[in-house]
Amino acid sequence: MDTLIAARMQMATSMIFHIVFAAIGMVMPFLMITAHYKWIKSGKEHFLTLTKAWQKGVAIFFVVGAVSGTMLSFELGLLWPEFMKHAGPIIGMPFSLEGTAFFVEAIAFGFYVYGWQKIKNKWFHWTTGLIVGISGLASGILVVAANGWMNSPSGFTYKDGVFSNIDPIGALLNDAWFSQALHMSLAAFVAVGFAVGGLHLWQYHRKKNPILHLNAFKIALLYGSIAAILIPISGDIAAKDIAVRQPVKLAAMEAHYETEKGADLIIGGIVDEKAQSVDYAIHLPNALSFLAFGDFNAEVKGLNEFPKDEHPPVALTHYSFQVMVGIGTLLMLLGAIYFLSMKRSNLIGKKWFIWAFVLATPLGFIALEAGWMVTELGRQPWIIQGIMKTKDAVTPIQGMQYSFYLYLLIYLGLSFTVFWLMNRQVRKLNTP
Amino acid sequence: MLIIVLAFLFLSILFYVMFGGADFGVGILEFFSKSKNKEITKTTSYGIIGPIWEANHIWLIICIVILWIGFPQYYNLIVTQLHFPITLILVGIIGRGTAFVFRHYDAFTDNSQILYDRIFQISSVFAPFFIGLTAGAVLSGEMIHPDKISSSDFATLYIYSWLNPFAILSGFFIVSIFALISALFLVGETKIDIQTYFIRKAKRANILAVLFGVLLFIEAYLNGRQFIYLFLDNQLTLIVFFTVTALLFPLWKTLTGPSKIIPRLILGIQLFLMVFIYAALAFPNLILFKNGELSILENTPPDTVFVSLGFSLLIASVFVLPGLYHLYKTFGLIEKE
Repeated sequence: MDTLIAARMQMATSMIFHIVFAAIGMVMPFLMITAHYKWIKSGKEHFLTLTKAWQKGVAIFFVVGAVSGTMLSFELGLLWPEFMKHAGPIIGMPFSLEGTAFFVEAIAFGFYVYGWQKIKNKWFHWTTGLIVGISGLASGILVVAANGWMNSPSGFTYKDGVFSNIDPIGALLNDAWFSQALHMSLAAFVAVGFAVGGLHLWQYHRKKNPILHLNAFKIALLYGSIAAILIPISGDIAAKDIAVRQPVKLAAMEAHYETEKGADLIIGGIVDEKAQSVDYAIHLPNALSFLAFGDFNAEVKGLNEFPKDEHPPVALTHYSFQVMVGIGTLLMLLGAIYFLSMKRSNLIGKKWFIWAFVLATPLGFIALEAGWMVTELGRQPWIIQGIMKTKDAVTPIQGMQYSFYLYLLIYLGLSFTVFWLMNRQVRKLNTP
Repeated sequence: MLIIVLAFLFLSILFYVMFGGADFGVGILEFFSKSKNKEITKTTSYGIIGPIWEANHIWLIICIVILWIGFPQYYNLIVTQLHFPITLILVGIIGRGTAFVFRHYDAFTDNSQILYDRIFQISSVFAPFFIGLTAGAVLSGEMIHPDKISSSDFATLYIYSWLNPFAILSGFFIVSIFALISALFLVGETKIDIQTYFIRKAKRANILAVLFGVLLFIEAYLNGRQFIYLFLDNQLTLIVFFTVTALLFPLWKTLTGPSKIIPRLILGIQLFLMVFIYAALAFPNLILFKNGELSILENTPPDTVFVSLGFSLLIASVFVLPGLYHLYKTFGLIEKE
């Protein structure tokens, strides 16, 4: 394995795991304080039990997320020293603000977890939980803004390999930050909402502490469903953005090789990169032009418009995109069904209803991962779109494959332990 | 603004040594405790460190962020040449952080606790050792100047830059210092009968720290390291050094006394002065290279970057410092005498 591949694999592994931990750490506090709110308002004991159970979950994921985040902040430099050397000063702003948000989050979380006895005013205590949620969300948005800069670099002048006229605020407010941050925040709520809801509904179905689990399901799905219904909007904004800013990424997402007016939307299929074709796909006439530009006859640039060495890996990007959109559509429907169940509560007892939501447990996360695959793979071979190639940013250290194995092992170990711990938390909740 | 950013860099290093050090220290103490005393250390420390545990470690991230934004060339040199020890620091931080949470948040208390405890204790020594080693490497004068990188072989660049007696001694030095900070801190937080136990620990850690400190100087002298010449030629660092040493006497005197604040204050001043010695030693050449000089102020980004970074840090302080103060206060870490 050469250094570049090893470094990319290590980065991908780190991101794949971190994004799960981070999304949970970002969204769970909101579920937690909702249960907490209901407890304060209703005084019902099971809401308190649920709040405390979720608090433990938040604590575990917060730390694992923080640890993997710390690792990433080092890995950026360890793996991509040339990138950080030039990009660090330019995109430092979101990172320093993120550090602040994270600090605030840690402080608020200290207050929240250890404040059950120490803090007399219950609303003040609750507010510290809210601050955990808000600062966590802010951290997420800021980090995504930094990623947005890699897709849509701004806030500097680049000439002959030299970066000048650096404007950190201009870099923070790059063209991609808003659409990416919106899409990612909603995606995190979808993924966590459906995952947490599905797990609790399964426990409800097993008749273990059913009132608690049913309420947990309802809180989780309230967030999950709202986000699932909104997410096509942010997806549309993001797609239209990419069509203008990174046409080659859009072309790869759609495995669209030839530039044409009134381009078809290609759904599914098997990509043959050599023959530049997609077999067994469903074609929606003119739909790609419409989705990308809001005009059925608009011209959509194909991959062949760009030099071959600037093509991202087409098949992987295309498949990832299909998975993301497919799951997104499915979860949007489930979200609508959830809202229906609020009106007709007998739905929740139905077998198909339970199975639908239980089977949907991992889907949001799969879509989240697939979405990041699209973003990151679709940008290749660039680390900073159009400015610096990934291969020019990589560390000179040899033997990076061992580093990759080490990190893979660490992350697998972490995930296994977290999974095991969560299982024990649920068991504890179910033992009276 | 540059001054403000440098001041924050200084503070984040100092606070990481103080608070992160106290935090690491409890694990070091646990590691070196007899098994019957491990439980005491564990329960005492959890009650105190628990609420502020996360916050203690964010100073490291602040420090990294300042380096990569404001001083990218320095950052680049450190993360490439010291790639291996930094990776090992990370392994330690991961093991420690996760084991800490697992042992306190696991739903059931059973045999798995033993494993969490072992991981926590071992990584609590492992991580600070490599933190010390990395810091020592920066001062050891074995790192390669950027102009000479292309003519250096792999081992010189990426191995011998940190694998040298000076850096290794620094690792042991930092482990002892962290244990000292923590023991001293725990003295004031426990009941009388356990106090003597932590006082003994604090004294031992202090003796070890002094011992490794002396060995560091001897090693530097014998190997003719630039560090020792800079140190001896600089009146300011000499004066500060003697102050740090002189403060050991009141530290030991007050350790057994009634006040818990005074020994902490003395140690705090000592730590401040030690970080100050490093900063003052060769500023602005904060990395000592084997072959040549490079100031931290060279090849820095334009002023706009420092302005935005400085403002971000100032705004951050407005949010973070009062919150941190109240957190410490709420949980009885800051008490009126």
